[in-house]
Amino acid sequence: MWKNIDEKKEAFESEALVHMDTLYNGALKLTYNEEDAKDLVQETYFKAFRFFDQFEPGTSCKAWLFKILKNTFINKYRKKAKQPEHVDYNTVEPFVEIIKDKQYFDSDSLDDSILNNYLSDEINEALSKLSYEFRMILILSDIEGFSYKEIADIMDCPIGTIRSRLSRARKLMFKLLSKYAKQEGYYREEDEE
Amino acid sequence: MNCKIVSEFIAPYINLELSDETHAQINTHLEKCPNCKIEYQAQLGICRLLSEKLERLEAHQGLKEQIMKKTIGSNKRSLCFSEK
Ligand SMILES: [Zn+2]
Repeated sequence: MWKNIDEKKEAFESEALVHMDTLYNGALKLTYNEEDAKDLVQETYFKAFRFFDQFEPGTSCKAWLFKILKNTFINKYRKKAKQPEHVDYNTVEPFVEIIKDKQYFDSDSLDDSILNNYLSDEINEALSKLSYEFRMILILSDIEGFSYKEIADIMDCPIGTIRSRLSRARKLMFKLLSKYAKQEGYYREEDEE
Repeated sequence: MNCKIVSEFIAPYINLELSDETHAQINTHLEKCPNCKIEYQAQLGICRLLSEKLERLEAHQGLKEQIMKKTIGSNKRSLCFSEK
């Protein structure tokens, strides 16, 4: 594959090391702990370097790194990571039910109104309350923009599962954020002078 | 297509993960069904919130140097510090 160790190092630098910031952000969202996130990223890279000959050139190295990150997290950090508050995942009502009676969302341009109502900290707070599976799917799909095929490979599960888990994860986020909206009194301002 | 099936396709519709044919069918349904439209807009809102609004941090310099040192054996400033 590589003629010598220098070539391997060069390839590792340009393919893998360029994703350090991305991996760090992913690790932070998995652990919500700076020290654990650092350890997780380090361990991911040490493993990636050791097994770099298993990486298939031409495929996404970022996806390959996330797969190692995920496996490392599950093996080592999951027990230690912040346990989410209990959210009853099986009884998530349809969006329509959640939205009903919520005057703080403008249902004509609901997506804009969601987008404009929340800050990074609130989004992180809501994300941190989700269980690992739901958080991970949102990190991979909505934050990092991986394709379903890549996500299925990273998570070792069928594409059908990705679809339904993603839609439930978004719904849970919406529900948690609606709760914040209520607590924080984010009501939609009517244009009355 | 009924609402139950459409609702299962909304996530992949947003991610452009459907065949052209299915994508068009969902499109047609969303134009005439207010309930599914709400579900679509809510999912789209969350998706955009996560992709556009979350702050991204830079990994600490010390961490980067440590990783470089223990893998490629160098901590020279190089491409790693200019992620696209
Ligand atoms: Zn419908």
